[in-house]
Amino acid sequence: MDCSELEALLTDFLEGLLDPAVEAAAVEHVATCQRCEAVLTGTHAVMAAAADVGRLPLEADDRDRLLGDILAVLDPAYEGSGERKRRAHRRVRGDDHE
Amino acid sequence: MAPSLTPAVRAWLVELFECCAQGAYNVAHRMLWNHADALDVVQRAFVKAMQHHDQLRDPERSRSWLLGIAYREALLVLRTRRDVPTDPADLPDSAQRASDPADLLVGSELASLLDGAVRALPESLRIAFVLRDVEELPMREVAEVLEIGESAAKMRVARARERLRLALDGRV
Repeated sequence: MDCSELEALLTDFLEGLLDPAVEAAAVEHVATCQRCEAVLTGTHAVMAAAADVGRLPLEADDRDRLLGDILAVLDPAYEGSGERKRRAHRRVRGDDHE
Repeated sequence: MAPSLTPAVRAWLVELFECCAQGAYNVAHRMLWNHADALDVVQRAFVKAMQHHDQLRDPERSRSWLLGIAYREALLVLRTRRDVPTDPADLPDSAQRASDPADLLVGSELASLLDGAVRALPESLRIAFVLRDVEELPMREVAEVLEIGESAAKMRVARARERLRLALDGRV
């Protein structure tokens, strides 16, 4: 396997989708090629960073309010306030610009 | 007036919310860069999901189904805008993401670096990357959310990773 072949297979390699023989050839190439080793290491680092810190957190207060507003729209029996129900309906219609 | 939700349907909705609200918010926020707009999109996505829950063919894929609805709702918002705000103040404090004090500095710096690089991606690559590498959907479900073929989804993810690798080279 050479660099261009590895580049073409990189995503499948990272996803673990290669046939064992092809994967073994890729591993062998990476072990002897500094450039491809750097590409692989860098891409792994990006994927790990994404999993670790890539999520923009939905805070607990927002979660609670969202679930309440969703129930206020969908469930006439929901025990939320009238104003909450009106606000939730406006947001669903897209005409709430508070 | 619509009938009240049965206990079973209400429980299903709450379960769906627990599983998917964070991911839907992340997708919407990464598209709109605005907290309030992202919350609106998440709310509309869940209401639509409940109104069309009969269209969910495979309960095992409820997460990608819901994220797909949120993605399309966010697209509708984007189409009504001329400008997408890119004010960094709209982003939550990245330091909040590191729960372990020992990781706080590294985590916040890394989050900040990644945020900047992800922002610079074209939207099509950015969302493919978020769905695969942040929300960790299988590639097949990334393709379903984006309504493109699996090979096209794979290509978008690969291009996003490549751009991010070059942007963050040596710093992650």
